[in-house]
Amino acid sequence: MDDKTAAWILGAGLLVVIFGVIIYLAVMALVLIVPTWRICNRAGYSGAISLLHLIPGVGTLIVFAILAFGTWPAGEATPPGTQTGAR
Amino acid sequence: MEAAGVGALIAGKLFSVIVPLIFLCLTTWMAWKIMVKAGFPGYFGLFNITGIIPGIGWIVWIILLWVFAFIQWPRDAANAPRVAYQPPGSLPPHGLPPLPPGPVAPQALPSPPQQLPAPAASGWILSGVLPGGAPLHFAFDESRPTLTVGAPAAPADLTIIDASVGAPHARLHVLPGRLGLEDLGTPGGTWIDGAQLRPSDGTREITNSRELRFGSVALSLARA
Repeated sequence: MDDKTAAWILGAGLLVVIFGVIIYLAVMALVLIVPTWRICNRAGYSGAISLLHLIPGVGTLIVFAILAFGTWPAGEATPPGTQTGAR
Repeated sequence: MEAAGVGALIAGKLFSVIVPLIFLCLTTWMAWKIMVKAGFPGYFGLFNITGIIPGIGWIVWIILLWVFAFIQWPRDAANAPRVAYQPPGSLPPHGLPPLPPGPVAPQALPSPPQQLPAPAASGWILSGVLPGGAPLHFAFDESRPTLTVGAPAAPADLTIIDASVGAPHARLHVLPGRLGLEDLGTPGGTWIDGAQLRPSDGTREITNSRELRFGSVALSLARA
């Protein structure tokens, strides 16, 4: 294999990787980030938190942790038995 | 050589079974807590387990995520005002619902009072403390149908000096005995009893609400 062929193969491989990353980001955006953006907004957080899904491996865990253990700025459902009386 | 093979097997099992299992347990626990915060029973969070079903598991998981994102949460239903705000002019002139049809026993009307009772107090008080510790106290009545709440950068009827408050920030609609609130779309946001009021929500009735939050400034609402 001469240098020119090797360069062509390397370039094509790089393009495939870049294309793959773009497809990955697009699919992630569509199927995960969109609903999570809305969930974060409804919880009172910035929807941009859902972009953490783009971190491979632990991104979803971080988003879940923020939603599960943070105090929702928009308010949380009051557990039964802790409701206060009306004014 | 054999020990190295066993080590590789254990390491393989660790990364193919144990780590995903821990990940699954952790995310299911978090999903349980998220469901409780949204007002659903916690066991709804077990939907997270569908992710490990071979083949279609991830598709089911994602469909359920979309459903959760867009259905109404019990938390929202609990925080929503019971009565929709009606703009001035649409209220019935007498303010009472019509009597249900049916036989009514004739009764003698009581004699009219010599003096009409004074109208009920219709004023309101918004009070609280700024993040810096300065007290806030606003009192207003129905003499003006609308009042603007905002930072002093723009003319406002109720001025709040805080970086999280927009100029203008929100608008109060005052009716006899009733009060409505409208968010004007500032980044700081407006909350009614912990539920966020968005500009797309329009005007919401807050007659029976207790706490309003403009940005990071929480104010208690009371009748004067």
